[in-house]
Amino acid sequence: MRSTAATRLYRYEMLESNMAQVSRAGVVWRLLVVIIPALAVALAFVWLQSTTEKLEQRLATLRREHELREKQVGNLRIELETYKSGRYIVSAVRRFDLELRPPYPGQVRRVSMHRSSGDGESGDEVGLLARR
Amino acid sequence: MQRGVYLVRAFSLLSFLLAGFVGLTCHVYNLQIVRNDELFQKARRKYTAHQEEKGERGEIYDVQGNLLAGNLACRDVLAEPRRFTKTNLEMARLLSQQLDVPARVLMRRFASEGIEVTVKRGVPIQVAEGLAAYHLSGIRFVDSYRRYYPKHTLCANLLGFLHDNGQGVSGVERLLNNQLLPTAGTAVFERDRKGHKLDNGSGYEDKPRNGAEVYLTIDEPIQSIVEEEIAAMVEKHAPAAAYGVMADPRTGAILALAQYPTFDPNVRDAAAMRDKHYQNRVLSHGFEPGSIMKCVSIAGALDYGVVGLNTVVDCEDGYWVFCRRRLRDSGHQYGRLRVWQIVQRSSNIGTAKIAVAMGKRRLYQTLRRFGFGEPVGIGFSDEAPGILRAVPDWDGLSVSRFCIGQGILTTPLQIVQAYCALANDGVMMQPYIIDRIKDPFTGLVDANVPEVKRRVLRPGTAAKIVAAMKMVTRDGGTAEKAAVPGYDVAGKTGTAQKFINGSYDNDKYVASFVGFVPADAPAFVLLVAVDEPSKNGYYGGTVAAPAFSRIAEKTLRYLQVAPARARAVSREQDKSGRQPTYDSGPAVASLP
Repeated sequence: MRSTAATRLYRYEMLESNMAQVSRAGVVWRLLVVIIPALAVALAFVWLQSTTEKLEQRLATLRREHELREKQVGNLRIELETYKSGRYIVSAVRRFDLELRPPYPGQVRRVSMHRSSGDGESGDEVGLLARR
Repeated sequence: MQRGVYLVRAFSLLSFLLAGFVGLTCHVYNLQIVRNDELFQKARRKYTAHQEEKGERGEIYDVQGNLLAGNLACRDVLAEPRRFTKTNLEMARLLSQQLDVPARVLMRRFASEGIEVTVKRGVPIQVAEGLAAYHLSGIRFVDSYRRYYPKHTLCANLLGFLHDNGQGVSGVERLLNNQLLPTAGTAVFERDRKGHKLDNGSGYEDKPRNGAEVYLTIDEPIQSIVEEEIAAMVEKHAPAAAYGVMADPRTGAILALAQYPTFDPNVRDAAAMRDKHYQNRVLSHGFEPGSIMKCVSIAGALDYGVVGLNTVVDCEDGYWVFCRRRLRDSGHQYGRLRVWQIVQRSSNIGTAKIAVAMGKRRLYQTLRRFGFGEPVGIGFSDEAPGILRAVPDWDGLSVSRFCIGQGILTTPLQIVQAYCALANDGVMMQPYIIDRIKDPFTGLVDANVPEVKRRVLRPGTAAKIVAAMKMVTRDGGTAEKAAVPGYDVAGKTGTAQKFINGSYDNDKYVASFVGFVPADAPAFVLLVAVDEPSKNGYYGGTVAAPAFSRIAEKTLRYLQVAPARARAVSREQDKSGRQPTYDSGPAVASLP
């Protein structure tokens, strides 16, 4: 505990010193140390924000493109069904003179193969087997 | 003193701050806890929006999963004329050029009172993208789907088509409209200050559900074969209409259902719509079946024990007078024929005499048991029951005419149902066209299982009539052209004069052939009926039978049904004049 003024052997004196000149460089330096990283952080933040924004826009565009392509693929799949039909194939065989012909009755045998599916259940699979 | 002042000031300041803090806390509590839900919803309403999203209409497949009706993704183009930055005329011209809609039509729409008008619906995606590249103000695109039938005319009358509002008009599209319709959902998305949708993903309050996937019993390759041959026959005989129906007699599943004239549901041809070519006439069109009814009548007589296959019937010398009316055998003088020969040669007089011996009640019972006079029950609302008058309404002549297919009306499907029963050892199965319906959301499958309708004949009787029907396609029968090399074909021809304006027309006929192959283990029953063939003949044996043969041959190849080994042997026996040995009826008896 500090002793009272009457009893203590020493006294406090106000000392005056010109610190301004000495510490100006230090203050500026300290300010720079604070401001520059803050500025850097702020700039980085802005840069990251704008990059994120750009990427989000790009993502949105790609997502739209993807949706569009998916729909086009779906449409093409339906169009493919037209060309998969027996009528189209038969007419194409005739048109291109491929000399293909359907198998003779009895030439193809349907065989059933028993297989085990992954989940432990058994199932039948019917395959076609050409005799000759 | 001064210290006291400081304390008072500090206390006042702290009190003020404390009061402010307490006030703030209360306010925050009120906002965050008490009014949380209300304010959250209010804020949410500010930055989110709801939009109804539709699923896709269910697709229709054949039994093997070949697509018959699907949906093409496309876009609807909508316009808000008040937001146009160009003049209406400029916009109309530009849109007309891009979308192929007349500019004057667009001008009329732009001048209407609506805030938003439809420019064109179902625009292909590429075209819509091309238009979007112009960045036209006041033009909006909405994702949609257009019904598309990838096989065009294949199975068109069965599938039906849709109205512009997405509701089924005919066929399966109408029958299963409720199952095929998608369930709309609600999408929730965030929007910016101007109300535009933000692309940061959207969630759903209710997810839209696609309509159910419908699988028909139709087998597309078989349907193709039938349609191809029907088209070839139409080209050769130029009829007014033609039908081809194939069914599996063991299950009742319809394998093919073709008709002429038909239509392309992708192209709404005005003439085809006006003439109602979209109608499924296989279900709705009634015709007098003619001689194909004889097998049914004689099967009834065999079942009742009235005759046996070897019973001799006097078929007169070309005509027979009954109830003061003449019945002819188309110029043939058959004399005495056995019952199986009556079937083989299609004698009107022989069949009529058997029916008279059977009596009208038993004939009526037989026809009813075979399903005539009532709808087949396949499920379509436009299915016709045909006409079979009740016994009290019969006149004296009826018993001799109904048995040969005159005076009654049947649909092609009723004939097929009846012959399926003959082919299936006398057991009639319920015909059906919907194989299964799958819910894409739950994955649950609602499958139809074959159902026995009733027994129409005793097994032994069915075998007898099949034995007689086999003779029809052999030498001396009326349908040698229906024969399929290597297989036993059982069937019956029909050549019915059309009843027009109160009398039978000598120039208009319905030629038909119905039968099944292989006769003893039928893979299918097939009816080929031709309404008013106008060139190259009109008999069932010359018009319908060759088409039957070609369809049957191709289908047997497709199904890989091996030919019967015993076929050649039995054929040699038949040529040597041996009769079928199934007879258990009154072999020694004879009808006058």
